[in-house]
Amino acid sequence: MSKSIINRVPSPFTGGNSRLEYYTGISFDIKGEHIEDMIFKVDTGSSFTVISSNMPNIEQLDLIDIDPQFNVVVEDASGNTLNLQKLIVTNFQFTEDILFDKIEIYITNMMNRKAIIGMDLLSLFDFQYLKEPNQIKGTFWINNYEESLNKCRTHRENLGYYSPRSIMLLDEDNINHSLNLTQDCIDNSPLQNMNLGIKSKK
Amino acid sequence: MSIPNILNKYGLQVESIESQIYKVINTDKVINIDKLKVELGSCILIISNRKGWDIEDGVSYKMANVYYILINFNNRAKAYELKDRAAGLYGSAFISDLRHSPTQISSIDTIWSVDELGGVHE
Repeated sequence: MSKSIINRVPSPFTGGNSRLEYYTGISFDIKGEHIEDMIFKVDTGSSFTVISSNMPNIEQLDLIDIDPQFNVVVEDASGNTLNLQKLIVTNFQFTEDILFDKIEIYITNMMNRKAIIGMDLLSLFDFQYLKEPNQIKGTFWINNYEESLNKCRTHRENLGYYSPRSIMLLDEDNINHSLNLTQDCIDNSPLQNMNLGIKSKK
Repeated sequence: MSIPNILNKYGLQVESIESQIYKVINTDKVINIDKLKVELGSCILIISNRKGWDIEDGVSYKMANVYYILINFNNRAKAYELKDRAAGLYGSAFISDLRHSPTQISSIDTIWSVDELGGVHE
């Protein structure tokens, strides 16, 4: 089974490390610039993977469009509205083993010097938080990543880049389609008329 | 501990080029960047690409060369000027900074999509 660790690095705010927080360093390329080890918080409650436009090494790149084509409105924990713009980055090295050659994340100028890995990216994978009884801090692992990446590759080839949210919608469509097919099979089965305990949900 | 003492502890030989800005002389020395930042407090380091990790207690600390040290976190324009200068001299350079901010020791960073909130903004 392929397995990869989400590297834990110190807090970009305090330099310390606590069990209550989980930061990881991710390198990627944008606008011809290589960004090394941008510190992201792993946030299993966030719907989006997003970076602030004033993060170190990108704050002078003018990545925010004045008239964006794709704007998404979200709320932070305090109920403040944030506008997120889609941002395609390349060579996004999520873990030592997992590289997205081209992937869609989000950027905002309404968040101060923060970067978040959200569930849009994490939920592409079988991820788990492992903490042994004798350990103070646990570790995030990604299991079966090769299998998960293979599942995404067709979508990546069709779109030209990985779009975690589009992949999720496609997965949900496929599941609904499968459920509908199953339901059709039940509805149209000869057994349906034989009172064998198979009942339509309709 | 004073700035010179901290830099000495990490084996860095420096020359002061402006107030609160140091140029590292022995740029070939690889040090623990994350630990140096904590000792300096709020600061901006201009560093090389990563040379490795120093892993302690499950936490990965970045190891790299240091080119310039700015003690004032808000000196952003100067930091980018020195980053460009270092990139010209050494091939590549990156900013690694720390803004000691006690208010951000604990935070709630989660963001919610509008769909998740039932499609309504209050």
